[in-house]
Amino acid sequence: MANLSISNIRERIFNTSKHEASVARPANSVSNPFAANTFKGNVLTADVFETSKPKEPAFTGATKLKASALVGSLTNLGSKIQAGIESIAAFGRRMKEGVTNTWQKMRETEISFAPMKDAFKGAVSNAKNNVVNKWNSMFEKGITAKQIESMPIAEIRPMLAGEVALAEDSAKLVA
Amino acid sequence: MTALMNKNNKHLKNVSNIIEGLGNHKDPESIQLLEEIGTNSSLDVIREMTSRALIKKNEHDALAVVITNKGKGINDLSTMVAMSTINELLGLKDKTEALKILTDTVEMHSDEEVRDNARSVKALMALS
Repeated sequence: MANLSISNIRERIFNTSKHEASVARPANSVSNPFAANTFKGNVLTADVFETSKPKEPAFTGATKLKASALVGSLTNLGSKIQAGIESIAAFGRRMKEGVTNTWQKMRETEISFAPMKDAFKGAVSNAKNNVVNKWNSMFEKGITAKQIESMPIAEIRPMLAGEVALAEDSAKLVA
Repeated sequence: MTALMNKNNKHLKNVSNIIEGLGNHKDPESIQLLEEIGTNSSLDVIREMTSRALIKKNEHDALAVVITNKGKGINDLSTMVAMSTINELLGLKDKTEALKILTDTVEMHSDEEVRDNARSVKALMALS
């Protein structure tokens, strides 16, 4: 019968190492927990399990250089990929900004187009009036064949086309 | 009505002056302009004026317009335009170029009616 006094129980709870030290396997023993057992009469003599202690990587000399180069290249690759991703993002951003700017410009152009259109209309109207006035004044004075002879064809063409059209229209109305 | 006729006469006078001026124009494009606008007019009187202006030039391209084209010049559907054109051709002082074009038209033109007209005009020119 175990002694269940409070002091004993306390000692068992808080000083576990004292009572459990004998249960733990010795530190220098093999890692195979079945080494001492028999399997159908055969004893496993070889330690088939790897030791739990991790192997230190044998980085020495040239290997270290290669490894550092590899790590460096991987780091560079990472930065390149990151830069690539960033550049794609930047490209997208630029495109978006470009589209936005273009749209903005178009909107601005559309807004500012009305006065331009008016200005254009005014200029065209003035030019047209000038030509018509010049033309009318020429005919009012009585244009002669001599005047036509000295004029460029580009100026004569609209005059002839216009007068022929007017003559044809007048003839239709008379008929 | 009288106002309309006066207006029509005014435009026809302007057309007449322009066509006459183009007839004496040195620019070769004047032939193209007369052919393009004058010979395609719906008014007989404008087509007649144009044909006379082209003949007055007495140049190969100008004479070819009124001799070799169906519906224009001597081949015009209007008898008045055709006769007026023939009369103008007969009145040419130097008929060499006109006769050359008429001969080529008689020999080589694809349209029989154009060939016949050219033959008749050539015969008239030979007699004059």
